[in-house]
Amino acid sequence: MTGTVLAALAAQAAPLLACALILIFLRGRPRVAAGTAIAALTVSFAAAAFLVWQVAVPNTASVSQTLWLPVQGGAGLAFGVILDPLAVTMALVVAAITLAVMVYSTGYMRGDPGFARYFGFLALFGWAMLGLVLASNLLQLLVFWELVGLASFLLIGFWFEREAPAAAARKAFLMTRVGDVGFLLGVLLLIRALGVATIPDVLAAATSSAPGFTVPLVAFLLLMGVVGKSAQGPLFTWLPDAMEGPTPVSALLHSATMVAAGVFLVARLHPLFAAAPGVMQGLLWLALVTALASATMAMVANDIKRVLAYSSISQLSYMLMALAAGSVAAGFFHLTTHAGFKALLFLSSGIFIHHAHSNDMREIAGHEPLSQKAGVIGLVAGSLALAGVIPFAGYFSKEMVLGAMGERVGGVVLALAYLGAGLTAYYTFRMVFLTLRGQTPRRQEARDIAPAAHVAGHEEHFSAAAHAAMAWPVLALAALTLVLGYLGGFFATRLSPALPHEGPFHVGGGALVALALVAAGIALAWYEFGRAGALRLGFAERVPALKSFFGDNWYLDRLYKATVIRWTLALSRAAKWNDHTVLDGASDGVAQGTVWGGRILSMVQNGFVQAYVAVAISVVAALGIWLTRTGGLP
Amino acid sequence: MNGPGLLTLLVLCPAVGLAVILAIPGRFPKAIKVASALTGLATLLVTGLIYAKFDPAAAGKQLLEQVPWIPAVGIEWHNGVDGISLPLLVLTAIVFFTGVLVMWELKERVKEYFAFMTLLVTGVFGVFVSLDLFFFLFYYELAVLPMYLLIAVWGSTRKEYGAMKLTLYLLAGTALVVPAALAVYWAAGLNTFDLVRLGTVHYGHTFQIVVYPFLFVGFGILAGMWPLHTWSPVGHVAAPTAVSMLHAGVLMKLGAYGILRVAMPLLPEGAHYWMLATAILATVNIVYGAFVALSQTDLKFVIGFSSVSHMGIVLLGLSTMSQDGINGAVFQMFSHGIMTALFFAAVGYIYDRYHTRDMTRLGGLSKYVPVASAFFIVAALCGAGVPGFASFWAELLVFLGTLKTFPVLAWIVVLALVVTMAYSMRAIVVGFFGAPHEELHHPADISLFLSLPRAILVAVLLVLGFYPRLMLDIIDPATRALIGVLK
Repeated sequence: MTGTVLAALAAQAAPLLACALILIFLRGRPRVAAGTAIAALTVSFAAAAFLVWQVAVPNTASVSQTLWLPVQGGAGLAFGVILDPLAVTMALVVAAITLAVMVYSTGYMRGDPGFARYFGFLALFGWAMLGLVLASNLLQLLVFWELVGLASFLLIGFWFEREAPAAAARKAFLMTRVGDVGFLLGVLLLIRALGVATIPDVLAAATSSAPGFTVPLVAFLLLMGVVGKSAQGPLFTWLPDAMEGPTPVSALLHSATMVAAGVFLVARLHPLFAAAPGVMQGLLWLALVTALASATMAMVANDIKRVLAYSSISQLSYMLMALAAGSVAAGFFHLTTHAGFKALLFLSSGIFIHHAHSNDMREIAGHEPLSQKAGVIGLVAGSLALAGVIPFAGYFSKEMVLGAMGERVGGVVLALAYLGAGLTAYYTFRMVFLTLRGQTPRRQEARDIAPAAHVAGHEEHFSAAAHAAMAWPVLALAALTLVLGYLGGFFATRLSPALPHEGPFHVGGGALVALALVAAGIALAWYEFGRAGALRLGFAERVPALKSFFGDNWYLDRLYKATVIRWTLALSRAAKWNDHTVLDGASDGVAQGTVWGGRILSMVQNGFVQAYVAVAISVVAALGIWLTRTGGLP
Repeated sequence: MNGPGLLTLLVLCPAVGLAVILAIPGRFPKAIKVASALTGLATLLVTGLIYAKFDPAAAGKQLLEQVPWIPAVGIEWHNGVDGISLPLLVLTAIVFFTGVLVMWELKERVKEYFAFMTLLVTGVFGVFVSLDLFFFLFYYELAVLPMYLLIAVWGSTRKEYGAMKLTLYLLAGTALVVPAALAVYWAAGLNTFDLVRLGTVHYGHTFQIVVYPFLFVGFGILAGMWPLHTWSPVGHVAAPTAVSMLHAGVLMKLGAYGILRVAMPLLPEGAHYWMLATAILATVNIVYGAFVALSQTDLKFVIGFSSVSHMGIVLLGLSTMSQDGINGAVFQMFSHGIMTALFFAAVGYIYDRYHTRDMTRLGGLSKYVPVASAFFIVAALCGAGVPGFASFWAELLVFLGTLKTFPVLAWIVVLALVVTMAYSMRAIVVGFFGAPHEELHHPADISLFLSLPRAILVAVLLVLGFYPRLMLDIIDPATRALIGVLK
């Protein structure tokens, strides 16, 4: 076993071990639990860094695995690790973000009764995501994919004693399961057709169109999983609700884990998807619609975490558009920069939320100003990156996404994608101005405010150590938004198909258009929210119908409640009725019938000798008559 | 011919335990419980020895014991294990031992309770080791009959009705199985009940087609086959905790095992002829069970119908008559047994302490009894097919097998996983999350001692969920041998 394989195993084993230790032995020792989890992720981080140095920098690829599940008609399914630039880079991103979130959480979650359990679940999350990233087998990937979903369920529902998080956790698990059955069917079809599911073998078979293997069908089914996990199209509505989890969890869920898993899967299996151009075209349009739709929702939300959630959906759509357009490098590059700045945005918004005890941007603005500057720095740096302002990381990656799309799709799709970039800048800076311009809100609409993601049990006054624990990860990530953007060349050269990459500061026509749109979006946000005397009411919010349509997830949740959910429950009640009334009724009926039959027959044996004799004589007489009539007797 | 050995010892363990329990006067309940626990431990040990002696690489029956019993009609004391029965022996030993520990707080008629329980277990072990059709059926009845008393005396919620319903349904199953078994005996004309020798005969095609449904339906009733499943949820709800554990965990497996050990190898052509019909029935089981579970509020009813659904997966796997399908079915028999034992053990604690199993009257339990709740949540996640637990692999293999034989059914059952997830989530979120009801009086969390049996079950699920080959390497050679017979 080589050093790289050992490192890959260590990166996965450490968080798993930490999770088991914490949940079994350390539930009563919060400090030790947090220390264990952080130590484990430090190991993972170091191992991932070593892997990047050993694998991604020299640009090598290898697979090492061992038999895991015997199946018919083949050598069985082997599980192991895949070590190529995509996997190890993603592993590093995952480990780094998880580590930052853990350090931050030692401050944010201080005093919570479930502190130790929280760190156990975070370690579980880290393990599942690292396992997913490094999995060499598609079935193995599916296993970790589901475990990522499990960890999300546990963390979204972390404050389970309140109804909203519990419902949000259930919704997340159930909705992603809808997509996951497609994923499972896709994997089953693959295994049935090929007898293997090792990722390089699958890709080779897909591109050489092996017999008995319908690539478009498999690609479509696998994409169902992606759509659920990355909160796209019809299955996105779980993600805004997932805000009910603790804010650091949102930071993790929206950046490097969970939702990133879907995009990662498309990148991982890109040759397979590329072999199904029709499906890719469908994905492109789905992602485009999702990008614009979620941008409209972000424009009217007043909960800062919901704004960020919608922006995640929108940015994930951009990643998927890049992948659908054929560029793994652009999609993955955007995933990486987004992981950095979205984690940053959530963590800094957490500082505000902690301070103001509210998620509502207008309440945060109305609260006394934050003494701590890390929150402001983080929010502004993250927003600049999200909006795509040069030279923040988001600019470079979005530029690469739009560039890749310009090369391969063009036309209406491209124009709408540019429009989306402008909308992103608008809603991002709407959030910045609403949160930071500390004026008294003109209109108090307290009733549509989600309850603050805070529960009793937190210490009201935070020590300097807690503040530092929250500030340092934010500042580190803020610095990263200025660095990550220069890695475009690294991704372009390592992730096929290679892109023409002219260096970070190449400014073409597309970039100028994008920057102009971003500037327009920011200007509009400033006019409506930022300038002195602004109404602080966006153009979409002024139309009540639009505000309610956008603010209510385009009525999708209502639609599901009125249709699919209602029908399912009706069917379920019908089945229950059938069971308790028809089937049980039938068996009880048979039992009753037997009892009554016995009663009727028992009348024959009534104990009167006269009756017996009468019956006997009548029978003999009847027999005699019958036999005489038919001539049986002489 | 080998004399009696480990397998006889295994059947004797609970029988001797039963004798000891009967010998201890009823005024020493503690001693009776200790004796029962020791009996459980002894069966675990002997099972461990069998496991150690078993050679997974070798196909065919092992540890054979054969002693003539009644030569005139060809009844023999003939025992052996293969990769199909060994996992079920392990399952039975685990569920028995943990079941005794779970019932540690029993106060009512302790002696009689544990006596019947050990009698039941004797029968179950007997079925799993018997290679003689007569003894197979003898033990089969021995395992079923104590259920009536265990439910009717120690049960709850309409216990007399549940007990009577269960007994009548299962006897109806026997009424189908016994004539069919005798028909096979006479048709073979070998004057033997030896399953191995009966399996070497080629029965007439029409004979197989006519007789197979009797065996399949007769055994199927015990496996919870739709639409003859309704005895099972009602029985689960009525039964005391450990009896539910044994009932759903082990007893329902006897039915599937009967199909696998008697019906399919003796009448392979019949099995082929009826496979589509049985597969459709099994699919109905899976989908229908899940839908009914979604509307139940009694946690035990939820589990009861989830068992109907999950046993459908076993029946579906058997119906594919493929290696993956049967591997999955046997693995599912094992993992569902452990899972559902955990389910009932978890609910048992809650019912003991809260005196209700209605999830709408519970709620928020995770806050007050976190460990006891965690056991239920783990079982629910396992039932929902979350990987990391043994059931995931079992179901995966069944789906793989089904996809090859009956692609349409495979799509249906995979899509039904959404409903499975829905009822599992509902039970967790309604019963254990959210705000607790005010009128609830919260007990202390589960003690370390009572956690032990539940923790054992969780550990088994996790170990096999992590590394399924531990079990599959044993099952696979036996399945290959069976597939050879079926062709």
